[in-house]
Amino acid sequence: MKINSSEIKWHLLFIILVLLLIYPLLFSLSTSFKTMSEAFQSSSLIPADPTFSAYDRVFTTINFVQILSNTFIIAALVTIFKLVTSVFAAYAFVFFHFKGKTALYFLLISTIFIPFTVTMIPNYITLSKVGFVDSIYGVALPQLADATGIFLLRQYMKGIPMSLMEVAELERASHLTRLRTIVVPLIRPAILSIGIIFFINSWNEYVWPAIMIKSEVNYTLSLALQMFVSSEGGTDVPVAMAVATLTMLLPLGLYAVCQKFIIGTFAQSGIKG
Amino acid sequence: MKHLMKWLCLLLASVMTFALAGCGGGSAPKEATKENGKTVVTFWHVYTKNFGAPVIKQMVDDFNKSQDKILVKEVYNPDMYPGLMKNLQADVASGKAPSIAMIGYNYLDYFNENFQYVSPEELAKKDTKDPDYLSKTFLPNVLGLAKTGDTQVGLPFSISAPLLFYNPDLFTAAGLDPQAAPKTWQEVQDYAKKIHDATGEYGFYMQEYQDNWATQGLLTSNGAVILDENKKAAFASKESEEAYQLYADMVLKDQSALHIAADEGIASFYSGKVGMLLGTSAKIGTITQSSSFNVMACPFPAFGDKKVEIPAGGNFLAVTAQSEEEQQAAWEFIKFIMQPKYLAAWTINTGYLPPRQDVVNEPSVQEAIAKTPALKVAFDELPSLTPWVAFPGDVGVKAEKMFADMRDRILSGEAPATALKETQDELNQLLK
Repeated sequence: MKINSSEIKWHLLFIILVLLLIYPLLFSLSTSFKTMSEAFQSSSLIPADPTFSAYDRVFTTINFVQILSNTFIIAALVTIFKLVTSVFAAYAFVFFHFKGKTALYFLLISTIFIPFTVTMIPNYITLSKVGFVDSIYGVALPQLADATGIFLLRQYMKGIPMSLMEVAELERASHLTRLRTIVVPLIRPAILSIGIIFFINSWNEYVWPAIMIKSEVNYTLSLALQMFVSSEGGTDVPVAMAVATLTMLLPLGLYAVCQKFIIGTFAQSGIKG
Repeated sequence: MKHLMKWLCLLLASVMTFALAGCGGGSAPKEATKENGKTVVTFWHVYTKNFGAPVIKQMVDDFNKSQDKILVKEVYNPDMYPGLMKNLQADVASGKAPSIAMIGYNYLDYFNENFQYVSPEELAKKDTKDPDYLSKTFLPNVLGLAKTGDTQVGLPFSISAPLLFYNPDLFTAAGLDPQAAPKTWQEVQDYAKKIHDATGEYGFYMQEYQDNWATQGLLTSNGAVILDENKKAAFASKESEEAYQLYADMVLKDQSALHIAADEGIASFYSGKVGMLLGTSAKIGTITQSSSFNVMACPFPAFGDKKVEIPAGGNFLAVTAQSEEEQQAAWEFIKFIMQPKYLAAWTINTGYLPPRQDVVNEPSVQEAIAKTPALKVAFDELPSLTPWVAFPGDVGVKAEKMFADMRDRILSGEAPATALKETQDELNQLLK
């Protein structure tokens, strides 16, 4: 295999980029094994005297498993629902023909431009009236549908050759059958990658859970991190970094697993002749 | 697809169940919430696991065990006072409120004008067992911290004072005597220059948060007034100019002072790259733990022989309970945690000064003072404390940001006179 010089240049650039991107991850990992004093004294990535005391404190002061499962339930609920609603809505917008379709679509898409801060308080008031405050389901509820997902999936579905759908129509396949046997398999990579984005966004969400959740049993990981950060009293940096490291683990693992799957599906989904 | 549909139905069903289950507790805010026959008191605070929360939890547990009529639940609000304020707004908008809310002193006027609360004076009057509780327990200047006009909005709970931490190793390296801490700002400037010249490290750093806390102390200690008696901004004065000029000279001319955001600046002190740190007594614990050297402290420096006037930081407790029963229960709890025993634990754990004078006589406090001399410095500053100026109405939140912007403009080279005047005009425009 021959490597030309321009390729080397690109690779160098990418290696530098990767190092820049990975540094914060390594930094939090290494700091989580330092003592509080060392965290401020040395910026070396290798702790001089590695200690588990930060992790020890995390597991003794907060109910980590509970908080982890809360975060997971919220993120999983939000991701599954967003994907299901997005797939159905996108299918309707691409393959159904009805009056006012375009207008309805743009009305829906325009909601993307409404900032979260505008809907935050009204949503809180509504949920509070039905008794959903301080509940992880209350955090998930207003996020079960998402216009961005509809938009992205619609773009992908528009790329499906009409001929495939026409054949299905000739075979008198129902819409559900077409969705199941043609559309979903073809856009699976898109569904997966959008799903990962939904999952990570929800996993890292901070402001909304911070308003909704009051008791520690319902905390999410990003709120748990805040329990060790105080501008007035100072921050326990190693503990905060330990929580940050633990928070990163699941999305990183999920991504590693799904990445393989995405590449695999890409290879299968070609159209033959 | 079948699989997907099954999931969908299952999830939908579970959401509906929760929706129905939740419907019961939604309405009727004017009645106290009960749990097993006990009145529920929710106590909103801002303290983290590494700062304060364990003591708060202890207070709550002890109180709940001490009687069987009231059940207190503590609720942590992330992001300090602005975070709690945001949550309070959301709660009040939905027709609810916690029983007790912890409010930062700089939100005093904002809270007073925008939220419903019961004054501790009123609560004490109704308390037939102990109607003189306020005057008997607290010093007038301490009560004044949570007072706007003649209204006692809440009870001071945590009081922090700005003080000067310093690194004796850098003092020695610069030929300065660590026992002779700087007493005046002129000395601070002189020491900072010596440290910078001798060691190459920075001599001084003043905590730079997005507020006017530390800088207010700098200005008022030189005799400046922030807000005049007509509640108009009045800080564009000769005194403020002088004070800011000295600070700006250290940063710009001598290059002996660091100008950087608070987290980085304070971390630089920990790692021995800054000789003196002007920070809050609430950080005594973190600073001692995070530094590799033996941290020393001295009182906030003076301008010549002028009187030192420094703002109290921290928070007061306000009763926001809506029903009378809940208000009384909240009052019982506040009186319980204001006992010297608990305030002493609070002081030792957090570095906050207690609102009651008798707390200093607790043996545990005496012991802590002996161990951490910085705590003694903070205690000695109690008489110099004045309220942290709170701007009325909606201006409060904005004003803090404007002060921070003004500081950044001056420390980046703008003439103090211009920046002060422009900010003052802008603020007075807002106050109209």
